[in-house]
Amino acid sequence: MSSTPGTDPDLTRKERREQARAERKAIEESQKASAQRRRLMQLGGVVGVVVVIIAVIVVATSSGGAHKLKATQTGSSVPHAAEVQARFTGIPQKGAELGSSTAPVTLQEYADLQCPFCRQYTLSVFPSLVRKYVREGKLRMEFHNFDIIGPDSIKASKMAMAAGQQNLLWQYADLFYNNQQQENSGYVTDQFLTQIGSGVKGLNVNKALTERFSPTVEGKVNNDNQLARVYGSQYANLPVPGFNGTPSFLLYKTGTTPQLYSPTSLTEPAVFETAINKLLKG
Amino acid sequence: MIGLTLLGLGVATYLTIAHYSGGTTICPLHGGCETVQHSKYSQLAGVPVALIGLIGYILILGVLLTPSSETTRLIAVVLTVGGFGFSIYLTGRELFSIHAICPWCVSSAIIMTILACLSIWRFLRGEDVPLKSTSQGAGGLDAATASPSSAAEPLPGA
Repeated sequence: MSSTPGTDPDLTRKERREQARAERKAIEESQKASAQRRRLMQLGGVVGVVVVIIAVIVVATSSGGAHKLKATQTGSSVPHAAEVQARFTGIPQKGAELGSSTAPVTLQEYADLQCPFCRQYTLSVFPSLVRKYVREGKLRMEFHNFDIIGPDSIKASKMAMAAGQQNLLWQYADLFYNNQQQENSGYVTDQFLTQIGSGVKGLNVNKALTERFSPTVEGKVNNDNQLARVYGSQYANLPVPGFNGTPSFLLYKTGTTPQLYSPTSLTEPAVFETAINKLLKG
Repeated sequence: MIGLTLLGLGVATYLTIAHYSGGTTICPLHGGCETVQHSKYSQLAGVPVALIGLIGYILILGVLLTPSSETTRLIAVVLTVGGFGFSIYLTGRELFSIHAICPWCVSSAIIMTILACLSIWRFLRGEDVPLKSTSQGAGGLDAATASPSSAAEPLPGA
């Protein structure tokens, strides 16, 4: 079986083998290059599709906010001004408190005026609670600042508290939420605060703009934030630990120890109503 | 890759539970977890992004546990590159829109970036290493694409 180099049949077999191997190698190299090209094209396709999807998400989430307040919109032309005015007409209000002081149940809200979830609650649940409970003298509410989003939150809080000095805090906060824009985008300017103020009937805007820097107003804002952060501390040896963001709520029978209330939804009035009804019956 | 995916799955599970329970998130490095979690970007079309991440990691894990083939490797690329793109978007929102950084989200973004790189490398390389090392004389060719006649080739001089 051993082949002798130099004989024709052996050389022919070897040559054929080498030729066949070279052909196979060429085919394999070609297949390999083709597979690699296909993979690169597929990868390029995947990257392209991902880029397009992300671009669509960016555009969709950037334009999803509230409509910007136009510079010409002041007074009653501020969007939702009339609706907000009607919501509070005839309801007693003092500082940060809304409703009758003798109402059997109290709901404290710790909120950030820049917070989109607070806006969600204010637009979806709050009107129903005011209509069904506050107006009926069954519920009193307290608004407290819990400024967690940024410096503009504090700026907004001070103006709202200053409106509270004129017993118009709730209208101011409500109208603010209705015209809220993208958080930390720099929209909370003096002009914006003035425009919102102009939409609150009866508010002396210039007085509020001045008073927002008074020790009284700044003290209230600081106190609220300190209190909220104490409530938020998991180490606090207080009856109501557990604030972890905005809005946070305390719901309790007026005159008793405030109890943490964590609603399962910020958009369904029925969730809040069930909890309030339970306290009213109890 | 499976270990990394499990790590990412753990992070996403924790953030999803924190989202739905409303509980306090342990926020390392004095980060702004709370601010990020309560921003409007924490949801996409009403779905919490933490849940989207959780579903993504589960899918990636499922693909990685499936026997490796050209198709599963491509699906892994689709999922991880998609996750990487989404992570880039979320990190951008943290930096430029929310102005707060959530270390949990950043850790997930890093995990997804590594997973995407590994998936792309694995996909472009072709068959997995153990299979390749058993093929003789293929010169690094995919065992899957190698000519069946290769195995029958007589050794030179036989």
